[in-house]
Order: sequence, then C-alpha cells, then structure tokens
Amino acid sequence: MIGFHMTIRRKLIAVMMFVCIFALATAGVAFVAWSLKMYRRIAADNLTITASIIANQTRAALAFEDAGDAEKTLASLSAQPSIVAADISTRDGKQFVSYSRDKQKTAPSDANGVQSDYASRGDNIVIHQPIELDGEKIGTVTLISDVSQVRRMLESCMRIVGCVIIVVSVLGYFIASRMQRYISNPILSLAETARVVSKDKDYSKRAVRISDDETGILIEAFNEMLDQVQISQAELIEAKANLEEKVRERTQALTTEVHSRKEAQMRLVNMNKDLAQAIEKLEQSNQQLQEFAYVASHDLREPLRKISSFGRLLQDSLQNKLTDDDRENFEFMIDGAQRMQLMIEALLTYSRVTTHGAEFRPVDLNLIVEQLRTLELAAKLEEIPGSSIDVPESLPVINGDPVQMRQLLQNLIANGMKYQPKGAVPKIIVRASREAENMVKIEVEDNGIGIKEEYYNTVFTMFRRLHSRSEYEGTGIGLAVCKRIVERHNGKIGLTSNVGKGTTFWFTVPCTEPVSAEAKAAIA
Amino acid sequence: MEYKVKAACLYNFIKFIEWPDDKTSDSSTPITIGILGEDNFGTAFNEITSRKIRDRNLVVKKISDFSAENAKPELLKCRLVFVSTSQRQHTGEVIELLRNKPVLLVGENDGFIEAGGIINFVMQDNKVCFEINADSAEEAQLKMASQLLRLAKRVIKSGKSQSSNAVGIMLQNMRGA
Repeated sequence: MIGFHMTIRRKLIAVMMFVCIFALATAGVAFVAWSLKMYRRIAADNLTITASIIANQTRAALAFEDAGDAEKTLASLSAQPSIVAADISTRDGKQFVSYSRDKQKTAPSDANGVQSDYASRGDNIVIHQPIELDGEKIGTVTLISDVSQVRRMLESCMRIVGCVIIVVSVLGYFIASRMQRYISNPILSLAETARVVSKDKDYSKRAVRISDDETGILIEAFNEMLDQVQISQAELIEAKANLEEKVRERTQALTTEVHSRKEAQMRLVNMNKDLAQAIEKLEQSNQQLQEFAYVASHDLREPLRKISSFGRLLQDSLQNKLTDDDRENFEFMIDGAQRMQLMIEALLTYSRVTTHGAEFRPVDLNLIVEQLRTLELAAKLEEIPGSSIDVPESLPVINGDPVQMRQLLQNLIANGMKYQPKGAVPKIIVRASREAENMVKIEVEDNGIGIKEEYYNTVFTMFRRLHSRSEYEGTGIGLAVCKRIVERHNGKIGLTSNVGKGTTFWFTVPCTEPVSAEAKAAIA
Repeated sequence: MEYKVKAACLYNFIKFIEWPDDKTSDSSTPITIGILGEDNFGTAFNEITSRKIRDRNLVVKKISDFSAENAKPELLKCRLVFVSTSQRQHTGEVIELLRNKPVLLVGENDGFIEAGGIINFVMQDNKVCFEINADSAEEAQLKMASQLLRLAKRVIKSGKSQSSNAVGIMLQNMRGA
C-alpha cells in the first residue's frame, strides 16, 4: 500500500503505476481467459467440422462396409497434428476403423455420445459426430484432439501480456514521472512557499499560480490568505504602535496627575497644618479675649457702680439746686451707667456660659419653672394681674447644667412676658415633647407681639435688637446667651411666630431616662 | 451369404443414387425393386423391406422370366432391376428395354456394364465387389454419389475403363455373419 510518509511525487507516481499495472493485469487476464475460451471453442468447432467432413466422407464406406476406404479417409487426419485419435464405429457400437496419431496409442473405443457436441476430457477435446444416411444413423465418428496447442497459445499469450506489462510499466513510470509534475509542482511550490512563510514569518511572499485547476484555486486562496495576514499584521503593528503611544501618553498623564495630586495633598496637608495653627491661634486669642472680657467686665462693674451710686447720691443732695436740664442730664448719666452695668452683667453671663459651666446632671424642669414662678419672675407676675406661666403637662428631667437651664428658661419666659402689647396680659405656656432618641424639645409659647419671619435668625445675634429702647427695655444679649447655652448642650434653638398673636421659642436638650417615679416624687 | 450382402448393397445403391423423379414423386408410392430370374436372395430382403428410403416403402417384385407375358410392363414399373445369372441370355433385351429409362440396372455377369448395364457385382477374393458404368447411369438420368463411384472396383466413364486405387474395393464380410 502507499505509505503516508511518501512524498506527493512518489504517491502520484505510485498511484498511476498501480492503476496502470492493475488495469493491464486485469485486461491481460481477461484477454487470456477470453482467448483461451475462444480458442477452445474454435478448436472444438474446427474439430466438429472435421468430424462432419469425415462423417460425410466415410458414409458410403460405412454403408458398404469398405474399411479400407474409411481408413484412407481417416489417414488424411494426419494433416491435423492436434487430432490425437479418431474412430468410426458402426450403428451397433462396434469399432469399424480407427486412427491414431501416435501409432502405439490405442484408439479410444468410446461411442457412447451421439450428440454433435464436444466435451473436454482432461486436456483433450472429444467430439462425437453421428454418421447419417438418409436420416438414419449408421455410425459415429469420434475425434479426440489434445489441447497442447491451446496451452502453447496460453503460454505465449501470457508471455506477451507479461512483456506488455513490463514494457508499459517502464514507459508508464517515465510518463508518470513527467505527468505527475502537473499536479505535484504547484502543490510542492505552494508547500515550499508555505514553509518559507512559516519559517521566516515573511508574509510578503506569494506562491506562483501555475495551473487553473483546484490547485490554482488553492494557491490563489493561499495568496489571498497571505494578503489578509499581511494586512492584519500591518494593522496589528500599527495598533501596537498606537497602543504604545497611548500607553505612553496615559502613563505620562497619570504620572502628571499623581504628581499634581501629591502636590495637592501636600498643599492640603500644609493648609491643614496652617489651619490647625490658625485654629490654635484663634482659640488662644479667643481664650485671651474671653479672659479679657471677663476680667474687663468684672473689673468695669466696680467703677460703674460707683458712678451710678455716687450719681444717685449727688442727685439726691443737689435735688433742690438743680435745674430741670441738670436733673435730666443726671438721669441720662445714671441711666447710662446702669445700662452699661446691665450690659456688662449680661456679657459676663454670656462669657460664663462656656467658661464657668457646671457639670451636666439630671435637672427637673418642673422644679425650675416652679422656682422661677415663685422667685425670679414673681415680681413680674404680680405686676400685671392675671398673667400666668402654665405647665399643662409634667416636664421631663433633662441632663444639663442646672444653673444654665434656669437661666435659659428664665430668659425665654421673661422675653415672652416682656414683648407684649400695651395693656396685654401675658400668658406663657411651657410644653415638652420627645424629639429624638435622647433629646427632648421644650417649647415656650407666649401671646406677645410676634416676630416677622425675616428676623427668625437675627434675634439670636448679640446686640441685635428689633425694637427701640424706648419701646422695650433690653441689652440685646439674652437670646444670644440662650443660644449659647443650648449649643453647649448640643441642642438646637429656634422659633415660630405669628405676628400679633404670639411666638413660640423651642429648644432641644439631652434628656435622661423618662421621668422616673422618684423625680415625680421630688416634684411633689 | 453372398446374396445377403448383395441385397444390402442394392438397398444402399438406392440411397447413394438420385432418380430424376425423386423430388416430384409421391412418398406414398413405394420403391419397387425388380428381381429378374432365379431368386437366390431367400429371406435377405425381409429385413430391408421393413425399412423406408426417403419415407418410401420398399417393395420387391420377382419376375422369374423375361420372356413371360407380363414381364416387360412389370420391369418398367421398377426403379431398380437386378438381372440374375439365370437370365443372362436376356441381358441384351433387358438393357434394350430399359435404355434411357430411369431404372438402375444391376447385374452379376461379366461384361454386364460393357453391354450397357449400370452396376455389376463381381466376386473378388471371395468378397462381393461392384463395378459401375457411369455413362449408362448418365443416360438413365441417374446421379451417382461420388463416394459410390469411389467404392467401385472399376468405373466406365466417357467410354474409358478406370481401375480403382491400389487399395482396391473390397467389401468385408458382414460382421457377425
């Protein structure tokens, strides 16, 4: 069989040779077999004809039983060397005359067959031909022919076929060697190109198209493929270059960005440092300012008190000697001194909120309101009959500075009682509600003049007053103090108001546990 | 014995000779063999007459004497007339009677064919042989097969006598006889 390791050239030659020899051998065998058969048939036919002639020739001799004449006729068979023996038998099967090519051989006495047919007996062809006279069989001619001639012919046939096969094989080999190039050359050229392309990675190489058959198509396809590969490679190289450029750019950009970020961070750190320093300085200066404010206000009180008290003494002693203008001037002076004293007091209070704050502890607001009602605000309540501070529901116990809580509530309630229309009766209601997990909201509602919405925030600013001193007395510090206290308690402060109907101030402070039984007992 | 062979020969002569009316004759008409003179055949014809030649039956007619009253018309009806030795004195008359007639004249006397007969039996080495006058046969419009002529010991043709080949014509004694 054809080895798979053989080159395509050898395979092609082998295939062509195989087909050639196979076809020749088959044709040769068929030819020999056919020749043999035909030769046998022709031999048999010839023998039959010969037998017929003999039968005709010997008819009269047999009829008149003239053996000599019959023998003479049979003797003429010697002209045909393939006839081994002949025999004529009479109607009743007895041998009449016989003939033998080789005299020593006894003629066969076979007269069983009567048909004009032939049968092979071994290598011999035997013919039985009846001798008829007037439609009546009077005897039989038997001819026996050997097939040595057939064998000789077979041998020569086979020799010829063998010679033809050898000659054709040799010729066929040369022809196949030449012809296979039509198929193998394009393929080998393609294979060589493919090898070079694969080895050198040189995609600009092209296979040469030699033929227009499938190999040509293959080569064309291969070349097209190479085109594609080349284009793809070029694109790839370009893309790679682009990519590298992009990577470089991106890296540059990133580096720049990182650098700038680092710088920014550095700046931020520096700024933070600066800020911290500034805060420190600010705190320091604030501390100094507060200390200064406290010291100043504390130390300023004494001379102010002297001014106002001695002013009062002077006024009293000079009462009759003063003109009305002088008296008025004295009043201005004393009033100014007193107001300044109040302002300083307020400022002191304000600064004390942070500097002199006490520890937080549970504070019962009910108790504070009650104390305010009976002590600090009692005078004001008595001043206007009917005025009241109501606590509809029990207030909670909160966690805070008791002094500052008292201050806070006092300021808010006093505020509510102060800003009333002329002749109005102040009604203050204090309520509480839970604001968040641990915060309570305290509301102080009044029926005063109300505050316009645009002033909701400004009321808490120090020294910011909405009314002239002639209308309502005040330092402009009270609500600022309130705000400061609430902020110290981490709460918020605000208000809602209805101009002409009243204002509700609210603040949130941290609460303790809900009002306990003990606290209630304490209230009682 | 001799006449048994002769009877077989007569029978075979008919087979190897063609009569002019063979193709036109009705097959129902029998072939008549006339025996003129003394009948020495005995039962030799018994077997032969049971056979047919060209689908025609064989009939043997015996005419004891040529000088008999109805001998001539009987002879004219025959296809084959065998003149025995006993009637040799009438040979010339018989030949004259059947001249140019399609009748095969067979004799057994020397000079029979020279006298105008067609076939004559002769004894040679104690074997029955025959000789043929082809001219007479031609006159009688009888076509003789060449094989028959070949088997004849002597043939007269175109007035010449031709002797047969060296082997000679010898009829073997009938086997089993």
